[in-house]
Amino acid sequence: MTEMLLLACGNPLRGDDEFGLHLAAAARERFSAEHLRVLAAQQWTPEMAAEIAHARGVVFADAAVTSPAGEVMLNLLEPADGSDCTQGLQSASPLRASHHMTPERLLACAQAWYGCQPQRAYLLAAGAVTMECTEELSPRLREHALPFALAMLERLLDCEREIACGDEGCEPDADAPAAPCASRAAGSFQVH
Amino acid sequence: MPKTITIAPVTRLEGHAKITLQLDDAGVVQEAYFHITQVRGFEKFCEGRPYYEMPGIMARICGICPVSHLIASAKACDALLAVRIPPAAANLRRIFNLAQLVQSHALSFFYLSAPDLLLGMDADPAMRHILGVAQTAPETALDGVHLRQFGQTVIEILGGQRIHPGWVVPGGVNEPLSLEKRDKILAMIPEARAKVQRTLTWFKTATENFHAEIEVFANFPTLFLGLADDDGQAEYYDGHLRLSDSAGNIVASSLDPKAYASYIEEKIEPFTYLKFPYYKPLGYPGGVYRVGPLARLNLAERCGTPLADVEWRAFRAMSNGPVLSSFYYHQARLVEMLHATEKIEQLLLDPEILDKHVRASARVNSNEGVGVAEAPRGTLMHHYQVNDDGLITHANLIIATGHNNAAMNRGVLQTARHFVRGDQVAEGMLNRVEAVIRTYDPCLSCSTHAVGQMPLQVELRAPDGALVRSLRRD
Repeated sequence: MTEMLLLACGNPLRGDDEFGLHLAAAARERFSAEHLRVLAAQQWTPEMAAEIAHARGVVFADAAVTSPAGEVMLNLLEPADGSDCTQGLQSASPLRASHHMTPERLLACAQAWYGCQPQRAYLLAAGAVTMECTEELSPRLREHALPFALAMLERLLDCEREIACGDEGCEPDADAPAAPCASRAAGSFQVH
Repeated sequence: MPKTITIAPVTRLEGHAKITLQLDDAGVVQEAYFHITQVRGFEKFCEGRPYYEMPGIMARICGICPVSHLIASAKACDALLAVRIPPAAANLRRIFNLAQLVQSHALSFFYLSAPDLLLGMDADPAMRHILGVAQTAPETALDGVHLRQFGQTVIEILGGQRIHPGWVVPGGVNEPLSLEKRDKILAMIPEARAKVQRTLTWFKTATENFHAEIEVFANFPTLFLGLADDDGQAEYYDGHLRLSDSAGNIVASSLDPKAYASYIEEKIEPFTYLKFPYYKPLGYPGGVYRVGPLARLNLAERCGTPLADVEWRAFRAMSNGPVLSSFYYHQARLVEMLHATEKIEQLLLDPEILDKHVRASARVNSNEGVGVAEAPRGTLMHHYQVNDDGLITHANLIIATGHNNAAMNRGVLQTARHFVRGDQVAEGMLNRVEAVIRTYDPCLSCSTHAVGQMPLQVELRAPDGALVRSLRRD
């Protein structure tokens, strides 16, 4: 089983839309592959359900157009009901099912297809300032939101390690920094 | 009164298109048009860019088959440098190309066409997608998901990322293969191969339910074009172009891919942005040909790997000559996936694949270069001209979907005439008209890459359908 999975998506040519990809690149440098598997792509697609199913926890990283610009959101996602991973497709666009998946649907597919899903799933997203054609993040996201999200991810991983330790009955690392529990780690944070 | 049926957008293919069916007073289909309604600009906006940027730029033509463009582009750049790339680099590119073939074929077969094949052509459109397939036939759907993941993972291991990797460069590849990566790929192959074999077994029985579709899904004589090696074996990275007719006679056995312009011409029609290539010596429409999995299996004298050769023989035994119905593109796709898993394994087991010498260096030594490879959908051609500073002065691309354009249009007409009657147009009938297009797995984003002079026609029609005025720009 993969310890934790960071699943990032974004378009590297559309400004802040690539926030998730930048976070993935920074996470690859900061964390060992043993503790965090990082997967980055333009879109979330059905085959990623297999990666998700076999992870202890998953963090979806993306840019958000519905959040205030510059705000970093960490949301704990509800466990998926895998009984019907097509739910809602009739009213939405079934044509997109091959090309684009939401985190909730990917979790549902993991449960439906592989019989398991991560113990916890999070959505870590930053409100986009601009999605114009550029390979650069806006200064606000690059200088503030990205380091903040990376720090938040680090706290989250510490927290997950603590929980995993509790699950497996091992002794916590005495040198590890204090970490909040998973539910307390989730929320919305304005970065200035 | 004459009636027009429009299917727009055509679903479950890469890109945007529409189909127009023209019915007569009796409701019989008289004409059918497959319109490619999108236009790109790659041939034009790459002018002035340095040649070494081309693989990276051209790979952005497509998110499904960027590796194919990367390879054809890099081969064209190799020709500009006039280098012979190291053998290990050529074989690493072959593996990369075959991994791309597996993931793309898996997308076409399982995600886009399996909904029709498993749920039926008349199934609820809202359920005709991979998630719907997973509810009805979870094993088949998961095999498809796994095979796509297999191909993408091999691409990621070699090229660093699944979409738009940059590992293939002019002169070779930019990093040799490590032992660890080789073993990681080798370990994944047996499971992938077993899933292809299981799907092939299922598909051959499933065809029993599709006699009508087999009969009229672009089931007509054309030429077939594809790469083959000197022994007539299917080739995906290099070799000569080979052309056969609908009786299986070899029309041309060793066409030089670099000289494609001397034997391939492109016709322009006003109703679509996609051109109609044909074999120049036989004119149009006599020189219309098909490319891709069906063409490659029809042309080849073998696949060259044990398991795929067994399936190739079974495939060819279905007909006295070449297999003509485009419905069988699906089966050909599965045979090619099987071949790919075997060939990747063969190449990886050769110790030379770990050779550290994987890139040849040179400056521009030729002002013109052509790169040809087999993409999942068929023969892909990149042709560049540069000035002495290595800046692109002209680019021409002929994409697999373009090669198949005439056959797709004829296939739509044949299918529509069989299934569509004006007074009773059911959704399932129109889905069959779309499904014949899906057999070719067209990539319209790839194929409409030109800007500049575009054929465009605007028609003004009276309420009774009579043409009042036609505006045309060629």
